[in-house]
Order: sequence, then C-alpha cells, then structure tokens
Amino acid sequence: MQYVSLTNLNIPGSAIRDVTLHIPEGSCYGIIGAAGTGKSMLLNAIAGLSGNALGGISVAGSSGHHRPGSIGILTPRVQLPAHLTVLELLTRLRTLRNGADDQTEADCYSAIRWCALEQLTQTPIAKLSFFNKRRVALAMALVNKPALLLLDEPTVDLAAHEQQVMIDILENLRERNMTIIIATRGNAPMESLFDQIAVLSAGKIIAELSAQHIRDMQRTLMIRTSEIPTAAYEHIVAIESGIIVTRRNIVLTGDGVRSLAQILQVLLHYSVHIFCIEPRNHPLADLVMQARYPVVLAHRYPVRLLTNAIRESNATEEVAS
Amino acid sequence: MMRLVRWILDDYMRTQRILVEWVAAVGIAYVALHAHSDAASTLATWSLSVIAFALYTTSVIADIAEHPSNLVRLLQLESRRTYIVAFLVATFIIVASGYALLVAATYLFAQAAFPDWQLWLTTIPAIIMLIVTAIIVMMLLTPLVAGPLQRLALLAFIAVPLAWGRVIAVLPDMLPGTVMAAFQAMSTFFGIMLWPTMQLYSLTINPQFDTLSLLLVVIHLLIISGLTVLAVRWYDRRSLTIA
Repeated sequence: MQYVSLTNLNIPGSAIRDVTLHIPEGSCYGIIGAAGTGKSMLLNAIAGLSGNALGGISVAGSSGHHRPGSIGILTPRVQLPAHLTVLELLTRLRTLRNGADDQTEADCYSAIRWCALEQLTQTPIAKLSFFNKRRVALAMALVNKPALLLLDEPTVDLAAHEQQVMIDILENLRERNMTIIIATRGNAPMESLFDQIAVLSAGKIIAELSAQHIRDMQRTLMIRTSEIPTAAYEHIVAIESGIIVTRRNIVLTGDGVRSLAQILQVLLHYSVHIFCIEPRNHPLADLVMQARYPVVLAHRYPVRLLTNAIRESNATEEVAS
Repeated sequence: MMRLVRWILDDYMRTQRILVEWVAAVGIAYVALHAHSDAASTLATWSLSVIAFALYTTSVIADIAEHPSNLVRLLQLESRRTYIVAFLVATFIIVASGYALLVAATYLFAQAAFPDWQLWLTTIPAIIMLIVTAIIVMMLLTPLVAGPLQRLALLAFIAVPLAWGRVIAVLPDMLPGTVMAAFQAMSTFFGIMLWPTMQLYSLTINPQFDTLSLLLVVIHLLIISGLTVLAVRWYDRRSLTIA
C-alpha cells in the first residue's frame, strides 16, 4: 500500500516540477540531491505546508492539508528553547494538543530511548552540544509517535562518528512501524537505510533506484557534457541498461560502465563537448553530482585525449587478453 | 490552544524578550511623564506607547512563529488557525502587560500626571480595541501572514490615505478643475476610511459615551473582525518552510 503519493506535483516559486512519487507504507525512502534541488520543498509539501502546491498530494489516503500529530519532522536548523530540560520540552510537545494522559510519560521516555538520550533527560537544552540538540529535535519529531517521519538532512554538519550514531538511531527507527522519508545530499553513507531512493535534480526526479540496485553498484562513472541532443540521448540510452542520461550528464552504473568508449564515440559523433569524467567511490555522491552545473574543464581534459586514452586502455586490455 | 499560548508566553518571559516592553514602559513613565501634570497628555502618551508596543511585539512574535523549530508545534495542533490565533492572543497579553506596567509606573513615578481613575477606566475599552487593531494590522504586514504583494498593497492602503493631505498640498495649481475635484473627493473618501481609527485614538484620550461613540465602537469591532479573518485566512494559505 502506498502511504505517500505525489502526482505531478508542481510548486510555483520553487524548483519542484512534475514530481511523481509513490512511497510504500512502512518503508524508508531516500530523496537525494544537491543543495537547492528542492528536497526541503518536497518535504514541506508532504507535510502539508505548501500553500501553493499544485498536483496531487496524498498521505495515508487523505489529501487534506493539515494532519495533526501524524507527521514528525526533523529540520537541519535546530533552535530549541534553551531554558527547558529535554524531558520538559518533550512533555510540552506531547501534551500540546490533548493534554497529559496515561501514556504521556511512556511516550516521552520512548522517544528519549530511541534517540539514546537517557543520560540527558534532566539536562537543560542550553548545555547540550549541537549533536545532542539534533537528537533532541529528532525526539521531538518522535514523541507523538507519528505514522510518517520526515527527516531533512539528519546528518548534515555532524562529525563522522556522530553521523554513524545518527545512522544507527535511524536504523533502529526502521523497526518502529513508521514510514520514513529522508532527504539528503548523499554525502553520508546512508544507503543501507533505504528501501528505495529517488534522485532529485533541479526539482525533477531523474532516477528511482531500489536499495538492491544501489548496493549492487560496483563502480559508477559520470560524464559531464554540454547539452546532449535528443538523437544522441536516444542512441546512448539504447546502448546498455545502467545508463542514466540527463541534459548535460551521463551516469554509468553497473554494466553501463563497460560502455564508456561506445558512449564517447556517440558524443564525438554528435559534437557534444565533454567537460570531464568523474570516477568516484560513493555511488550516491555520483548521482548527486548530476544536479550541479558542469565546471568547464575542457582545457584540462580535451575530448580527443580522453577518447584516445580510452581506446588505448581498451587496446591494451585486448592485447593482454 | 491555551497550552500553546502559555508556552509562547513562558518562552517570551524566560528568554527575557519581555524586558524590552517592560523596561520601555517604566522608562516612558519615568522619563517622559515624570515632570508632567497634564492628564490628557498622559493618556495620549499611553495610547502612542501602546501602539508602539503592539507594533514591536507583533513583529517579534511573527518572527518567532515563523521559525522552523517552532513550526514543529504547528504539526501537532488541530489546525493552522489555532496556531496563528494562539500567537495573536499571546501578543495581546504581552502588549497589555506592557500597558499595565506603564500605568502602574506612571502612578509610582508621575502621580501628578496620573489621570482621574474614572477617566482612565473609561478609556480601557478603546485602548483594548486600539491594541487589537495595531496587532492585527502589523501581523498583516509581516511575512508570516502575507506575501510581498499583499504587504505592499496593504501598506499603500494605510500610507496613501494618511499622506493624502500632503499630496493635495503639493499638487500644482495649474491642474484642471475636474482633476482637482477628483483629488479632493479622494480626500473625503480617505477621510471617511480613516475616521473610525482616528476617532478610536481620540476616544483613548477623551472618552465619551454617546451614540456616536457607540456607533464608532461597532464600526471598529466590524473592522477588527474583518481584519482578523483576513489575517487568519492569509496565514492558512501561506507556504511555510519547516524543512
């Protein structure tokens, strides 16, 4: 069952254009893209906060704008009331709508436990580190036991070991019967969390990949080019599966990597200018790079030199075999 | 909603933002009214001060209400309307507390300038309406509620009638009579538009209970209701950025 459905979503004044997404209930869904590609706007729209969103937004089968208590959200900008303790803050948020009940304390302590804040319950927020504040903000998102959890850049600005703790916390949340949507730039190794990933570029979903697909990626290459004509586009996508082509980028994954020389030939044939080829270690980072404007490196990597290098490399491999 | 109002007020007090209103209230009483002995000028100072408090507090509260960290509370409430109304109520309480402190401080520091108790008490309904009007109008001018074009239009709606007398005065004499007549007619129109609020302000200084005052109160209550509905509706349609 689809828990969140976006159909031809457009948000005037933002980057979001014709986004269609279907997120299954209980899944952990990743939305990755560079800064400014519209990830946060997409989360806002799902939370029902975009007053001017056009198109279909359905959460749990309802298309109403406001869904009290059913959505928890974590934002990268953390500014919490400094004078309260962690427990006071969570209790206030938990009792905001319906007042205190038998479950209030249990719910607050559950959120505290899930975010590994047991040692800090009576600590004033003013005395917490940035990372601990981020975890308190996550506990705030969880204290009302939302059915849908929206996390915007949960690991941004954290040190490497803090990122790992946050990822562990999120990993545990996956077992709590929630639908989780995480927006990220792909710069933290979170792919183990996701059941599915959508790659957002300039407000559009340019690829949807399954978790298995991501895990299977052994190596990814990206070619940054000048604008690719339609004929060249059609030619390239027909070569092999595992090739993602946008207007100015070609990403080769899995088997697609083996087609690099062939693709370069096509680009040469259509006089498409190649700016650079980027081998990178992290598959998500490669996909995210698609959203950025190409940097002109043609003088450093002339297209003929690149092509010759590939040819020589192929010839050497053939001779060796 | 009252739980959210209490939370907003608690934050406002414990972060010491309230000191601006309260110190200003004491300061006005001590510095501006200390040497006065005229009750009318005291009432006028109170009215102007309370408008200034309302404008300042509303801008601060709107900023707080718009912050993503605070919008987390919005997602827990029954509706957006509850959220914005809670912030409006909290603003009113803060401004009213500033006014109460101003009156108390005047009694302490400038007894000679303190008006007759009965006279002061009769100004209170008009003061309450003045505070509400200032808060609502200011709230409509903040990015929390209105978009840039809406704010610009509203600002023109307020500023043009207020400045119209000046505009008429600098118009050249060579303009055709019909054009001048149209400008004069606009003066009358704007005068009628501004009349309720101007009269309300004068009621806070010279309170009267007659048919005209009653009519004025009714008109002003209608205006306030209309503006409040407008503010809530505009907020309901705004795109908020929580993430």
